[in-house]
Amino acid sequence: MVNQNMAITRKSKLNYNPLARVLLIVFFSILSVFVLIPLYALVLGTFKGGSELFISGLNLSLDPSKLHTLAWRYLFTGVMSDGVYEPHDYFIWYRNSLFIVLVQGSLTLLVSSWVSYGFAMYKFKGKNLLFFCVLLVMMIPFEILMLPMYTQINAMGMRNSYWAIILPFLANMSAIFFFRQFLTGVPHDLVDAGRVDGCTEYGIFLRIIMPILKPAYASMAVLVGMAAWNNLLWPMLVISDMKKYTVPIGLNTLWSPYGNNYDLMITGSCFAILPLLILFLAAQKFIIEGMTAGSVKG
Amino acid sequence: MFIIGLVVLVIGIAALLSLGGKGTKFDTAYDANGDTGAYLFGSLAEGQSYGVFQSIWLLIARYRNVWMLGGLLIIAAYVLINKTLLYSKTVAPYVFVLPFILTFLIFFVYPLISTTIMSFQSIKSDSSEFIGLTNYQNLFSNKTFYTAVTNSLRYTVITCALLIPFPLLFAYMLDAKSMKLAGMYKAILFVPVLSSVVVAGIIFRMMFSELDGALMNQVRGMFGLEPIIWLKGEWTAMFAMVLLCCWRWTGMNILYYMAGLKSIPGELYEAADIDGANAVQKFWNIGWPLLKPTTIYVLTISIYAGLAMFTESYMIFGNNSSPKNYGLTIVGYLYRYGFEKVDKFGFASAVGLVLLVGAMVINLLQLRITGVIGKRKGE
Repeated sequence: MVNQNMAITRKSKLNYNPLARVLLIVFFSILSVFVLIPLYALVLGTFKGGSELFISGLNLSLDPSKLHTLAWRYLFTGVMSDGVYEPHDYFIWYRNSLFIVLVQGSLTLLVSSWVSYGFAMYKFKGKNLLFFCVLLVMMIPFEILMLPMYTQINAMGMRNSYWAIILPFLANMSAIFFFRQFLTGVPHDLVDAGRVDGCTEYGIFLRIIMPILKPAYASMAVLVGMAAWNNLLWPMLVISDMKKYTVPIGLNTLWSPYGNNYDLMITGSCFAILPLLILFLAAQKFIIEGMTAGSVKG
Repeated sequence: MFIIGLVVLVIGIAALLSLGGKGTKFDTAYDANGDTGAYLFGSLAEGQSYGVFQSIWLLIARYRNVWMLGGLLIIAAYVLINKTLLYSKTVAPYVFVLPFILTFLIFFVYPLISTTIMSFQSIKSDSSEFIGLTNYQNLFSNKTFYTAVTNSLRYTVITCALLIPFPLLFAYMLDAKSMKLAGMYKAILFVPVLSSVVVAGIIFRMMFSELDGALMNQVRGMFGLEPIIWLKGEWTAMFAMVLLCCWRWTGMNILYYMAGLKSIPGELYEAADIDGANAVQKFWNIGWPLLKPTTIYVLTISIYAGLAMFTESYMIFGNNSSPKNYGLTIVGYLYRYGFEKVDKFGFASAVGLVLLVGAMVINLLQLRITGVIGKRKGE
């Protein structure tokens, strides 16, 4: 299982001599700086304002006298840099995104673990065929199926509703795969004990298996939640009402050749990373474990 | 009661199917009391009105989702009343797997069948007719299609070539006992993973903009070179997309490799130390072979992501059209004909199917070559 693998303590690993160590530190410091440049440029850009960005593009030149917080003021109050009040929908998108992350995240975890329990703990006719289907769907990028899926959503009359975003991905194939992997380490005796005590088959899942799955839920919550927060393509296809946009779709619409929305676009981008960044700083180890959960085979 | 539930469910599904692909249009027309029946029964002649059955069917079709849900609820209620079913070990696994089966049928099998049919049709907004293989012939004689395929393959190969060896090397270098700062570097390299394609795309689009003051042109200026229009050159545009991808995924792949490295027992290195092996030898003889499963995993997801690449290009170029199609990928091609052009649905369906087959062939080939499929059978 994942956690056991993670917990293996190491006696001695690679050792480098002092010179190599210094070289490595220098190398990784330079690499880190390069990696952070785009983000630094973004933050710097929010203080330069949209009109400056429109003239000179995104760069690292720093002129303290030109920095201002007008772009941020527009984001939070709706007062544009020239003093005109023009409300924007950013925080409506933000609320929509949060709503989708919460609903989609929790429902996906519930449904996917429910399905994976069936695969992991029972022997039944057609099991291998069905599991092959899981792998099949996992192998095919969603982007290639988007057209028929869109027609289907349209036929169900769900276009422009959040159900269209959530429903097709409730049984998330990689989550099913991950939970099944996790459940193979759970002894069947536990399930049998539940049966002896008079639990229904579904009661066993709710009362015995779900508590056991807690660490797996936590790992998957990170993955599913981040994917939902950052998802662009599918929501963009099925949602056409401005008031129902999520943050990524909304930010995408702000791009125009005339640069009139740059203030909102740049501060909005910055503000969209913020929750993830705070979460990451607060629970770094946990998030990293969740993101790599799929790669470690137990 | 079970039968009643089943019947209600089937009526709902039948209503759904009778609408074809015109669900939302039908609903709008129904709610506006417009020409709703035209979608189901064809237009009415002057002075004619719908029959009793037709009216009932219109009502059912409008509330098809309620019918389907109601059917499921009635069946569920039956099961709750008839408690012995809750203890049945033969029924339970199917109830557990049911959400998957429904998703698979509704959002995979049925759409796939309907696209296959549509790919042989010419579909206009109000009519459709079978035109045989014409869509496929048009597709394979279309030069833009080959541009899209070339771009996607090129992008996939380049990203795989960059995103496997370098993260592996970095992870290997970070995974040393003496690297005290490894945790910090790991965290910094991971930060881009948190940014969405949209945010990363906005940043990179402005960094690669054609303005003299944009970051990438300033970099050129530092080497004494003239500013260029990055996104209008075949290879410079590709460079922007690959750089965006590498920026976002290097940290992630490092983490995959570090997780893999953690499972290598330290005794192996000790033994190598005793034998007097140097760092490079240790890498080739211990690290590389033992990391093969991780490499296969990373390769698989890289190929998957490479073939599915669309949003990166969409964000960098601001929309799905790029100069001389330098940023057009296979998914972008599909998007263009499926969602941007009117009355090309049949053609787009053919595109989707060809890509589907292509992606599956590449996936199977890759798994076959790396030995994943062969091994499974032997076990």
